[in-house]
Amino acid sequence: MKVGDIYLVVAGALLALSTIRNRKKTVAALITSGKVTLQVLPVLFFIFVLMGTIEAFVSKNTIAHLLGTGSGVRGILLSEVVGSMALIEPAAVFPFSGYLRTNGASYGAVAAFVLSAVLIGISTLPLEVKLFGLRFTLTRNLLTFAVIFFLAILMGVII
Amino acid sequence: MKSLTKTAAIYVALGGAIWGLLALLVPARGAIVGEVVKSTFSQTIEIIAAVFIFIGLLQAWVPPATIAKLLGQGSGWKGLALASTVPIAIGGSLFTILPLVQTLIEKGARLAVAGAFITAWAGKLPLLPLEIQFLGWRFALVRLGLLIPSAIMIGLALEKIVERRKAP
Repeated sequence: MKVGDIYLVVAGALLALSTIRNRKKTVAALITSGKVTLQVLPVLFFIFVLMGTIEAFVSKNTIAHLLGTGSGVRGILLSEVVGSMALIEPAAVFPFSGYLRTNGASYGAVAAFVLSAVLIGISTLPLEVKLFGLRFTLTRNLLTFAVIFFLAILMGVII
Repeated sequence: MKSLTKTAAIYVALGGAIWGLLALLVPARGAIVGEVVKSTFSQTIEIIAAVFIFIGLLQAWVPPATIAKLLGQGSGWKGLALASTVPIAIGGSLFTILPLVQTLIEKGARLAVAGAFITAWAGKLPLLPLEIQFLGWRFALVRLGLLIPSAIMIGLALEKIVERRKAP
């Protein structure tokens, strides 16, 4: 049995349980799942094409050179900057990071990418400024950028 | 719903265009793209389907608005402790989470709670199966373990810096 099958069995069991407890909520859950599928699956397809394009044009050595353990602080900073700019669905972050990892990126660089892709968004800046003001937005994003830098170094050491 | 299908179509078209162009201009490299897309999809499709079901169930049984209500009530250290852990279970992107945090502030939550909430939300528990599959459970556990104290730190520092100027 593959890992995916186990997850599917668990998901199926939870769905069954949910149906028994409350039909209406289960229908709502399935509608949400459908919407998420429509929202995320195309992004995943796009990211997978992007991964394939990198695979076709960028050598493993280049990735390892830019983001590998030898790249140190520079690799972490590069990952953070790219992660901050990436307009990316959180669900797509992990496959892409896994791809970078198997192609020689260090755990520190991968952690920097994951965290900044989720937490820092050039694309969400306008919304954040509108909701919380410029001072909050700048402080939060800069603080987060700095903390991620140290977290990435720590994770590189721990894992 | 309409804009959802529109965005979906744009991503599919964009991915398809890149792939198609490569297949046309440099067939050997286009084939590599096809290989990667196929193998990644076949590796992950079951996990992705399961994750989507988890997200739907979570949203229906524990709606984010309920979580926000729960957090608005905690004050002091209790509020921070909740804000740095509970959001881990919420899905969505920054576009959905920022408005939620704003309603928290409107209801009187401290800025530290808001900052901790946003940071902790990056824990991404609903996506854990994907994280374990691609980066391993060690990575996922350590990341989560470090994220919680970081959320408190970012929250407190954010509050201090933002409110320093406001103070009389």
